[in-house]
Amino acid sequence: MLKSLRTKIFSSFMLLVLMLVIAGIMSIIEFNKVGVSIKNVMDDNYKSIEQTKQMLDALEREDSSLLMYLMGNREMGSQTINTAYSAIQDAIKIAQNNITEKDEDKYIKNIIEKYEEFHTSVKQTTDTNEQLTLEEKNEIYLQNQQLFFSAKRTINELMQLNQERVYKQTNTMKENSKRAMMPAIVSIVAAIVFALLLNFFISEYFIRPINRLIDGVKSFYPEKGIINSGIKSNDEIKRLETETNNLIGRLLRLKNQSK
Amino acid sequence: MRVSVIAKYLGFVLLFNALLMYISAAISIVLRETSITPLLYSAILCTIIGVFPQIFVEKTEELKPHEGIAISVLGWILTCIVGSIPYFMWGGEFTLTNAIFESTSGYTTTGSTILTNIEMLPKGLLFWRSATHFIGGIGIILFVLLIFPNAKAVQASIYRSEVSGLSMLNFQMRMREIVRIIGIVYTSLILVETIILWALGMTFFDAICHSFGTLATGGFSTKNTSIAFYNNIWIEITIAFFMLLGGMHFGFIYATIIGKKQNLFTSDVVKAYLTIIFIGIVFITFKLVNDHVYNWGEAFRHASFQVVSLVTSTGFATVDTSVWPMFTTVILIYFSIQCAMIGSTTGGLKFDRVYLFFQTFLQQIKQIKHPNAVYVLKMNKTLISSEIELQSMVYIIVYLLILLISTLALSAMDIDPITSFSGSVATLGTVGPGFGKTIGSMGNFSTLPDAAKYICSTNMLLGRLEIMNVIVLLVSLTNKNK
Repeated sequence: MLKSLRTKIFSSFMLLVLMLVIAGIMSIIEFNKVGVSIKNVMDDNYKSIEQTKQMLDALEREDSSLLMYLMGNREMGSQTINTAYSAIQDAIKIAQNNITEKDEDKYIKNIIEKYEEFHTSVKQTTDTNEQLTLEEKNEIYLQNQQLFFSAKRTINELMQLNQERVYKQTNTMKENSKRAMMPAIVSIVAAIVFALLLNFFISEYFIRPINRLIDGVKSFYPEKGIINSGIKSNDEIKRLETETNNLIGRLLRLKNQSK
Repeated sequence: MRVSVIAKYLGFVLLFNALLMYISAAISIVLRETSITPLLYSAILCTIIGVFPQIFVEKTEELKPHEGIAISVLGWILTCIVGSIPYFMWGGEFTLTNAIFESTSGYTTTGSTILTNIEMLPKGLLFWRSATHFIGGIGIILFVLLIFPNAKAVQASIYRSEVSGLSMLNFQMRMREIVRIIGIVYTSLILVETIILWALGMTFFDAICHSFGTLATGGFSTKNTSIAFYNNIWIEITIAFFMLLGGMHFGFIYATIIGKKQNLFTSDVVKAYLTIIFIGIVFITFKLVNDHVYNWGEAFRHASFQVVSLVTSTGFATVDTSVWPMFTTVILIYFSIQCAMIGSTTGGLKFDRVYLFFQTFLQQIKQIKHPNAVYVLKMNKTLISSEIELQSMVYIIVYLLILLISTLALSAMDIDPITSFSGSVATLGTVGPGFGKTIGSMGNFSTLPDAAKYICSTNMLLGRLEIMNVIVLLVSLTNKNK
């Protein structure tokens, strides 16, 4: 039990400050978590989604280049196929260096495998210099289409994996941001309760004893000898009462001596 | 009433809650869960507000009786409110209403939940949920008496407001000794059960959480399907055995352990209590077999577990009782109203009062037959004063009256009759699950309207505080000058 009123009031305010500071720190930590989640989404998943889009775009280009080749524009077709191939390889390399999800490496391995099948088949067609009939062209195109769709599906799966993660992360961010606000909200309510309690204690242990002392002084008459305002605490106000009584004693003694 | 003195003791209550919150927060910190901030901040908040009155208020040597009651009632209400802060801060399914409901359900050892997916909660929060059972089991106020050094007169005043007269009768010891015995028996049984459940294949975390739920006769599980999740007969037997112990007078358990003459085996009330349970199990088993719900073995297994779970007001489940025949439901509702013995962690009317009621009833019949004869009422060879007899009868009437009012209030919200009635029985008796598809043994209270959740929360508090204390406090607050 603290005895001095000064210490009591100081400690109370320190507790209030402590409560608000901790609420602030916790809010900062939680908001920081939201920031980290956003960074994670941007760095990890968004990058992967971007690469899968590049892969899909290059794959589509390679497929249409094959058609271009079969339609007779051989030089342009071969050139675009090579460009698309290196674009996909670049995207795969970036995706490989950005594995953030469980089993993501397996998805990429799958893409490499399926794409290689498609690309080998395309290459086989473009490497032959024979003139093809319309039926042969149709057959080759249909064959490649199956491999194309198979490769496209694996890329879409990787994209889906990362998109799901983004969705989950967004939900987590939503929860985290709500959680970050909570210490502040709870602190506001707690601070109100704290203020009411402080007001009660100040009134009970500060104002009321002073009022009692005032009443005691007001109702004092010399025959009474001392002021007894019924203060039970052992703080400055009690000391004030004691010193007032001492002063009264001294004055009374002085008065008696002067008689 | 000295508000500052009451605030000082409520501060102690907050400090004790903070202790358990720190432990839960530590679990979250170790497991790097999302519940770190909610638990840690709630703990710090409880500490700060709990310490605050200690700065101003000096030590008190005595308490007036109504101050003791105020500390007891307000302590419980405050505890339920601060206990909801970690849930509310964590979010998810916990709105403010849901958080208050879950917290009240935990502290009052009811075990009703609003959660549809318990298993997705972080471990720290799950532990906190079970810890509220642990605290509420023997009563936060008794814990405070046990831990914080207080003047004897103060302890006695708080104790009298927390422990019923009928319960004190069976202890026949000094107050400090009784509080110590309750503490020892309670914590020892929790420890033993945890070790057994762990040995039977539960994880240590689940074992301790279920032990809190069992001995506190609470019923919060860490699994969505409660004890049915384990589908292990030995786990069910262990939990049923400890639920039975949790529903027995702790004074008798202690007396049995230390070999006193008046113990569990010699008590008439205990014998009658166990006989009633056995009859209930037999009736339900026959009905379940007769209606081809289960074979003999399965019927006996599930009937035993469900009867023990409901009569002790625990509320753990191994099956969905909402599909059982109506006859069995009626028996289970009776057990949910009666509940277990006084001096335990159970809720409801309490068997001792029902036993006393029938004793009084028989005595009245004898008195009518022989008007000049003098009869005395005895329980466990102890004379029952007419004051205690009257208290028990009044309690039964008030309890049933509140049950009726609560059922009416819930029905007014267009909740079906079975849910309204069984929800009131389950919450007022601090049993946990009700009956019917919504709040049955495998259901939850999430779909009830917010107002209904507040009514149920009030029921739980009234049930845990044994109604009369709340009425006394309300009377002394409203009739200050009389």
